[in-house]
Amino acid sequence: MNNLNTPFSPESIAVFLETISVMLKGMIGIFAFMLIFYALIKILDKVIKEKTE
Amino acid sequence: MHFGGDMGDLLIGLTSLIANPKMILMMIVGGILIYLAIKKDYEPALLLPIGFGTILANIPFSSAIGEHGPLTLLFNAGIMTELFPILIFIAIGAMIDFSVLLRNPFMLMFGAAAQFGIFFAMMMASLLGFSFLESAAIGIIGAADGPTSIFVAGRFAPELLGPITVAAYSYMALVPIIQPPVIRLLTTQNERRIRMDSFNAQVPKTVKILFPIIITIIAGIVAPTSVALVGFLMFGNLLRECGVLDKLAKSAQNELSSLVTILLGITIASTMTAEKFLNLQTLYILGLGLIAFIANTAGGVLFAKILNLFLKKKVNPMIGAAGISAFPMSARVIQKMGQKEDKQNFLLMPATSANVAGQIGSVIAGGLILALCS
Repeated sequence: MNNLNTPFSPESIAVFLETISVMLKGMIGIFAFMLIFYALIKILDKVIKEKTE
Repeated sequence: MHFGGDMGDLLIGLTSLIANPKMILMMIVGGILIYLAIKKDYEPALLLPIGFGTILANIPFSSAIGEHGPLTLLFNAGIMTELFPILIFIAIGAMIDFSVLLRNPFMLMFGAAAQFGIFFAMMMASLLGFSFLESAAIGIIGAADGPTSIFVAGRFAPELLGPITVAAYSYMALVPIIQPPVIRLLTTQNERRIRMDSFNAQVPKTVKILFPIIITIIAGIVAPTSVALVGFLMFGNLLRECGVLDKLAKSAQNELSSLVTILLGITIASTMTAEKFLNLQTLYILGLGLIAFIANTAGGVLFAKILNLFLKKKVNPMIGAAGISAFPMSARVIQKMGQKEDKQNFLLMPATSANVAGQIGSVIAGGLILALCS
């Protein structure tokens, strides 16, 4: 098992800064995906008019 | 006949156990997991095999682990190749009914907001000294989705797979205990009393068939690393919705799910050896998992409250908390809390929609973590 960096050390702060960037990109990415899926469902709803089950 | 030598061989296990009390401690950990599975009904399908496997892995000179040990062989064949979690995704896909979400797609936004805990826990893990990839693997506990956690952790930090899996499944079982106090802390009684409309969950069959196919294509094109995760989930769902493969869909829901769950649980236990589990990292991981679930809940609730600043027809902020992947526990928790505040408030339908959105959100989050951190 790998050893941990010292908590709050310059090394761990450097990793922390990287994770902030991942958080921003990740949250934007998830919302972007969900918006696309939302639009997709709305389009399917408009286009496909058939008897529901 | 070397009687003394033979007796010595027979007793070597016992003497090793006495010389290495950490192994005894791990067997107790295994026993606790079995107890939680049987007595408390905490994700028994996973925690019981993990608990028993932990005992198997910690018997001195155990033939279950090691180069030719069946648990290690299964681990290498099923976890390191990502085969077991992928097969579980087919089973989960075959169990999910997306109808409630397709009727109320706005709930997708809560499935996104409630993934915040993944990234928050990842940031906290990095501050505690974990490497970048280990932090990502720990953060994914917040997906509240066992197979996704196993999939990502298996790729980024296989040595941490044991504690990550135990944390993920334990906290999923503890959703009814974790979520209510966080929700109460962040909402007023009036907000918890906001009523929401129920709706007709009937959806055209063509939509149900096209949805998994198109989602797979879109997710795959945007984030190719998510294809395995999203694709197999949606394949399972297509089996369910196509209408001509009922036998296969039922096999995926029952036999496939049961078989792989047995193998998955007991195999993960091969990593639960004393030297890998009994350390500070495990304690950190268990704590960070809890933080991830709390942050998910808070993320969903706060997002709903922010939306309410702009919406004419207000959303009950508790619905935001149902945007996690722990299905259907989270939706039930919200329904119960809503009923407690107002007997005439039926939140099950919208909460279920958000909960299903959380199942999609967690898989997408897993794919994004893989793409962003690889």
